Amino acid sequence: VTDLIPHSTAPFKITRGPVSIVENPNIAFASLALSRGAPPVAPFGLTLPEVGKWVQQEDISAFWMGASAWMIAAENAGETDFAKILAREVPGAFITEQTDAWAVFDVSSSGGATPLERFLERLVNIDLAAFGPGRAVRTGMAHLSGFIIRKAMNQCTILVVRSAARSVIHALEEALL
Amino acid sequence: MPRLSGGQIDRSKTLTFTFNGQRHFGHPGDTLASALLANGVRLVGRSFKYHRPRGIFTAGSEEPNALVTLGEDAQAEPNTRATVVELTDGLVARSQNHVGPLSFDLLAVNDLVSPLLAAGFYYKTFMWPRAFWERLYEPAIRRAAGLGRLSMKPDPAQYHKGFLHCDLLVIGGGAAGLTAALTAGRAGARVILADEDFQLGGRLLTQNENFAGQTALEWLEPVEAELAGLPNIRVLRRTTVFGTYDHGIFGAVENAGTKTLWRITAKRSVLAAGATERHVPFANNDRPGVMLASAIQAYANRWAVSPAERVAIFTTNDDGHRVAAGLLAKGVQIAGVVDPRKDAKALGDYPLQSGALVIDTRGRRGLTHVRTTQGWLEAGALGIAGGWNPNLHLASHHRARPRWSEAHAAFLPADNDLPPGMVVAGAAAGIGGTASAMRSGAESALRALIELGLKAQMPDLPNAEDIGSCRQTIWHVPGKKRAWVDFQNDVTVKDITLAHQENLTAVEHLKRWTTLGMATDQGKTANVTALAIMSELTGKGIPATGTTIYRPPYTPVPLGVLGGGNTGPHFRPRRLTPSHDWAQAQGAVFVEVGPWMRAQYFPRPGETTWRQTVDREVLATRAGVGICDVTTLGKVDVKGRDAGLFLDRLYANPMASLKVGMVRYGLMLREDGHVYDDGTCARLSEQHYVVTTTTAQAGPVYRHMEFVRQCLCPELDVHLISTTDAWAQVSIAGPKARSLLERIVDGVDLSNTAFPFMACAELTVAGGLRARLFRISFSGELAYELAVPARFGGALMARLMELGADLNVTPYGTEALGVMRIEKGHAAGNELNGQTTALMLGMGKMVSSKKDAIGAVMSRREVLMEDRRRLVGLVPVNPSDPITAGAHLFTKDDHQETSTDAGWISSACFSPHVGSAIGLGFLQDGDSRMGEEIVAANPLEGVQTRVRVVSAHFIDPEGERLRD
Repeated sequence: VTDLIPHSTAPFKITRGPVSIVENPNIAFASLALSRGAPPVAPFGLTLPEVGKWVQQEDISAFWMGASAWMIAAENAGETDFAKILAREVPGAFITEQTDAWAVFDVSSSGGATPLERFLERLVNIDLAAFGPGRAVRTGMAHLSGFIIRKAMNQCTILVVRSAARSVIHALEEALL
Repeated sequence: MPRLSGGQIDRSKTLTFTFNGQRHFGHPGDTLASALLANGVRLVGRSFKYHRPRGIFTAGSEEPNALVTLGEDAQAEPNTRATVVELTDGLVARSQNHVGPLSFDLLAVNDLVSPLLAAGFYYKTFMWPRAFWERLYEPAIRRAAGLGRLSMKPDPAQYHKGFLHCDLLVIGGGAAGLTAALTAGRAGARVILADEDFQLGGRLLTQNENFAGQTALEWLEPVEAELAGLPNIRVLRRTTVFGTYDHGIFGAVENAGTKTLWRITAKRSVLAAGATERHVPFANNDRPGVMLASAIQAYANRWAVSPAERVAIFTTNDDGHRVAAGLLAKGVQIAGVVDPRKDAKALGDYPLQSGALVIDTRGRRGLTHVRTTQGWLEAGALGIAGGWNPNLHLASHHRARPRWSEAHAAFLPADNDLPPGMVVAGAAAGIGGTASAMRSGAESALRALIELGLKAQMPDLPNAEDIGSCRQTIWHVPGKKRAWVDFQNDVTVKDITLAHQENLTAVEHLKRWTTLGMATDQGKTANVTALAIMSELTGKGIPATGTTIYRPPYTPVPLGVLGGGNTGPHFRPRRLTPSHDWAQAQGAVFVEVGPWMRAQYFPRPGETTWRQTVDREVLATRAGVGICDVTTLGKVDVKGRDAGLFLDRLYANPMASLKVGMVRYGLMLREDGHVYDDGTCARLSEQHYVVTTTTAQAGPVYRHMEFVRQCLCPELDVHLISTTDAWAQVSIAGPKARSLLERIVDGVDLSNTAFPFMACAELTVAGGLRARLFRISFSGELAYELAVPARFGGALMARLMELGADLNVTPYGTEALGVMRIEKGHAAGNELNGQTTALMLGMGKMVSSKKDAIGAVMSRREVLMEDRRRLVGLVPVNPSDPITAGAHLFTKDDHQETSTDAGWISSACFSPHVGSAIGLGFLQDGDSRMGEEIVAANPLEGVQTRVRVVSAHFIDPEGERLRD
């Protein structure tokens, strides 16, 4: 095991009114792509989701990223070589390590869907009526590219390029009323 | 005068505000304008050009006169219409455009010399001396004429932005808008109802209409409650929809304390923006107290205030009579109603002058008397009712021309050319009666809902009346004195006549020459009248004269709102490299490179100039070893069965033939054959390549690659994924690079034979951390690029510094990186500027003739093949002379002009290795002019430098160092 110490700052956290945003530095990502004509795969028993969808089973979740391509996420695995673990799970698939590519923010509302949606409408140009639980979309936010996953009516997760995390945090704060 | 009875103000609470420092009082529910009138303030500003006293003219966003500055110091917001400012406690307002006190404006002298200041006067007057225009005349005119002034301080206000989506956007919350929203809301559609006012109801609030059995307000109350209770309806008060854009997108500003810019995407829209009353120009019609009749009605009914105890009305239709009757009922004296119709009938007990016109007024700082064709009337206010102009602006923002309706004597929205998905309802469509407006609102919503496949029902509508209105259309009262058409810009009937005489008869010319319809009100109370007068003069008729183009914004939008709060350090997002915090701790100076902040150089104590630092970093790297964070270079993983084939099409040179474990320099062309980008392409396994791009082009190249994959080569089985952010990448360069690297790499033979120049591998470092290693060189030295997961970037830099202390390892920034690549003659962004070809770069042979690739065929075009400019190196003949990037190259003794231009300098720096400035440039026949002395000219600064043409490789031209 390497003795290099990864860069870390205290995870960003903010609560304003009913909405809380908590950075999740301990989630691992790897993208999974299949060759054309390859049979469907089910890493860790997970049925990979359809276009625009997200699924979760315990600590493992997946969302659709493109034709025959998904992002697989593992909670509490940020320090592991998750891409390697996934590659063993799905031999023959194209696996690309993505853990450090993204800053991840979990957003939740203690007041139901409305406060969360009031926050999201100030951040992203998404028709929220068509963005219910289980949906995931790649979109622009604060002039950057990222993903938004609607996990529940009152919960979503935002992924943005990690290099711009500090700018994104400002945008998140701005979007909180 | 004291407040009238009734009104929708909360008299139980008193609000204090100041106007020009004077304390006044009002109530919640007041606008600044209604509160000023209630406090007896009639004079609120000075006119644009003549500095004439001006008062409140309207009760809405069309206001041309009552422009005030709100707030103080940096908070000051100029040109705010007092008629739409919701009164708040402590509000501070000031009048604009006067020198000295408002009541004694020194620039009112302009009014005395008004014959000299007719439309376009400055085009004719200030002709000589020519130099005086910019220095004297224009600044003086600008000082004298104008609206509010900016504080010139940073705006401390906070602005927000956001995005909304709906099935139906209803613009306007009056009679038509409310029934539209109600119909759609009950049907379950997602509705946004936006109104610029802080109260819903539009003209229902001001007309005091009685429906059968209830007042308009009694009808309004449960409707508002129902709208508030429907979860699928979003009511946005204080929200002006200011623009209609493509694809059902609307811009809106919500002003709820802080301002929010909303971008609304609506499947359908109902425009129910109402109509603006017209005035009729007559002599001296601009005195404070002269107002739209509907405005006087609004102030009396909604705000319980009359602008004067005695009011006269000048009307061309029945609306003015209704206003008079209503005022009478409120206890306001009616001095008389002047009506040009001979058969006009009074609707109450007031003096009527039928078959009469208003021909003049009196009253220095406010109206005192009105002169009609039948004598003088004593009145402190005059309401003008000249008919209605539908507010069709938002239906014309895509350039549709409104159509003239003789029956309405008004322009109506172009039915057959509305923005897709829009229906116009109510007064905005020329349907002015309350009952028909309500019906048209509901019907418009039904139409929209049917198109959306939603079932809906007509709501029960109140038994409102449609009061017909006979009218006689009068565009102006002829006379010799000045009669104002556009109050905001001081444009009179005379100015329009002059424009006609000068043959500026087209409406667009009329607008530009007289400034009619410009500035904050955009001629909402002036344009139609002006073009009607012009059509009288030309005899062409109104439809043939037409309107000017309607453009967003409908009402002024502060620029800060459009910025949406992205100011200062948040003007745009910043990307930080993985070693940013480490570099900051080392005292690095940073530079913006596209969205990235990169370490530019690392100053050490005692170094007084950046050049000292950069020279040291360059020399230390070339003598020992230097490290630099190069994460910002774009990285794209290319995977799949057809990865090689895909890259063969993308790059001008072959990539499918690249051996696993090797890297190749790659050149991408644009479709037109010019060079697009360069970088390296590494093959990590049979079906896995890693492409690098330049920092600047990382985004565009990735997009281009996706376009090629998805659109040009959809048959290929290949996946792309950007890994720029996933990996931190560090360049380790210099003769001691291998020695340093061997100390951190886990058990891999890095000898020249085992890991030669252009080798690559996946390995581990620092005791098991996964990494990628590429033996590539930008500096011309023995060099490697080592990538680790991004979060380890800073730790890797620190570890390399620690392990290489005895090797004198030196961190270097982008400046030293640039110097070393110029010394080596490597092309970068400056050379790949979109105008250069592979031939010009001396890389013509890289464009493979054995395969096809994007841009390959077009690169063989005659015009590109014949371009004889080639990349060369340049040194000054006098070693102390500088070399300036951007300078143009000329053959010695040639006359310097475009036709003799022989090329340009693309990059320049001081080279500590050469000991003088050096440059790279493209020179006509450059490859055969080695040793020639030429001239680098910088005509902008009058600089001529003698330079000598040399090889672009200032160090190690044979490339021995990087293969060592």
